[in-house]
Amino acid sequence: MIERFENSIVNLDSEGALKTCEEMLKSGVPVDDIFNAIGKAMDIIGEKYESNEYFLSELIMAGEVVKEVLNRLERTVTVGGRGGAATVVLATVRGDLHDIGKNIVAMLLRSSGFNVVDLGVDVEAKRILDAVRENNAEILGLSALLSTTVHEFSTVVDELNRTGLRGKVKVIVGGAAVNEEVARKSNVDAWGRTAVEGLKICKQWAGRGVD
Amino acid sequence: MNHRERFYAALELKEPDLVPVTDLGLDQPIVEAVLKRTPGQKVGGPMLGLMGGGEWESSISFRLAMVEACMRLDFDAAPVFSDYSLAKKSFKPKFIDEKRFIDQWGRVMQTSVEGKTTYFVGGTVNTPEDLENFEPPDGFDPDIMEMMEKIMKPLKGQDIVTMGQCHSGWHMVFQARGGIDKLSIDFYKNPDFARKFFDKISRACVRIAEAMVEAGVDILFVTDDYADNHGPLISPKIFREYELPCLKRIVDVGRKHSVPVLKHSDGNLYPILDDIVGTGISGLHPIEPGAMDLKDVKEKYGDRICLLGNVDCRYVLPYGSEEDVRRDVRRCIDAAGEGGGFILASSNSLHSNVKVDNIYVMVDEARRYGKYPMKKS
Repeated sequence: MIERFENSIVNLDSEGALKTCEEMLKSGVPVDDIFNAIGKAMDIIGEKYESNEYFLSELIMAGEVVKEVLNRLERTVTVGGRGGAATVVLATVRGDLHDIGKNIVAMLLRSSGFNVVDLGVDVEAKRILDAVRENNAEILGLSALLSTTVHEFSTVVDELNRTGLRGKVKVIVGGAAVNEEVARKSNVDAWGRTAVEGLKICKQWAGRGVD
Repeated sequence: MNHRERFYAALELKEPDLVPVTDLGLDQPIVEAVLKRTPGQKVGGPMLGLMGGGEWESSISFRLAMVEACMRLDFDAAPVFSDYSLAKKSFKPKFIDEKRFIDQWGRVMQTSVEGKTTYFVGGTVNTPEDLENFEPPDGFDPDIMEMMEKIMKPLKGQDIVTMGQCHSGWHMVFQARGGIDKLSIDFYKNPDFARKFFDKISRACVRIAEAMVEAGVDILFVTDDYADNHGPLISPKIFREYELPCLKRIVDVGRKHSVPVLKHSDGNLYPILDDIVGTGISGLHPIEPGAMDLKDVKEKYGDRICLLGNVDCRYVLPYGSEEDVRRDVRRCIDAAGEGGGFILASSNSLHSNVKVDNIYVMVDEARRYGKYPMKKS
């Protein structure tokens, strides 16, 4: 049954995934096993994306399928922050209104069990710092599409340093304007070429709790 | 050769005297800096006239100013229309709040005065009823035809190739729908709705392309973006089912009237490039640096289509030194200039952060280095 459930997610079959999820709950399959199956399915979807078998449209649909399953599971268990998963604050930096990439990262992180605080687009450094502090975030993800806004990464990192938060949070950046050099100059911990790569890095950082 | 002969020679995959130069678009600050004056457009914030929702008259004066700037820069072709800015005289953008408004394509746009541009932030077509009531602009509307005639009239007989920017379907569909995320879910959960949406937008795009041709434009430039650096935004299967027929319809409009059709798309198009080239397009722009390789595309497709691009406008044109720009122009010409069939342009457009001096350098290096016949690289 678990395998059928995994396959339904991988095949982007929301009806099948929900139906099997229902059956599993009725049969007393442990909720942790269901979460593990979701994680495995998302890993396979990520691999398919990286090998150009799946594309952004499929990543989005996979996120939708998982969202529906999580909504169903929420009626039975507490989903947020399960298994000690890390909290990630996400934002597109000040002056930049692009959000497709950031939204995909948010969806992938949520599907993998992270607790995501998405601040939206055009977010000032102060608001980002407040969110990191208030949510005890372990990871901060910043996005920028425009080469004219990447300097905001440094502004945020400087503020994290100034307020003593830098040692408590890992910073990852991404977006079309980002490359190795931008990441190095911004003094961040990592950069993700794609949303799937970003997810992998966050999983490595989180270590426990996220399959 | 004059500008027109040079541009057409490259399009016909022949060697002109020099590598031709053009661009897909020039943002308002670039036009102002080149012309050293403000061209009429002053609508509630910059760029509205360019991106839609601008006043009818100011939209015309801005497009004419853009063509004048292209001539001043010694370009061989200029973008004369954009379907973004074609509107009825009575059209007024519906402002949702101080910054956001709904344009004539049903898109919610946000003006960033600081960023000197206008962004898409949402859509208005959420239900089958919304789609039923959705009225995209009609290319043959008398006001729109008049707008195009007013732009074309002063250009008649001028030595510049005129390009009309239009769309085929995908871009306007996902934006009116409110995002790629919503439309991607529609493909899987509401395919009939997605099909009807593409059909409606495609019909509007075809009429706009036909109207542009009737107004006398030399080239149709289809500007829907299909990819990011990783690959196509939608799977090739979905692309072939929904968008490819829309693109083919625009190419067919061009064929019917002997108007070459150029295709623009950012990103890595490799998984769908055979499909795109197979529609019968005459050229591809910009073969985005970092996502695709210009030399490789030239080797694979250079005998079938003209290539346009791909001077880096992300780092080199905004921040590069004169030598950086010259080096990048030479890189492009070395990769794709040999044998003709190449037109130099930026890797997207001359956006507001591009250094104007670097545009002059780009053209100068193209004229200096891009002389035919070329030595084999």
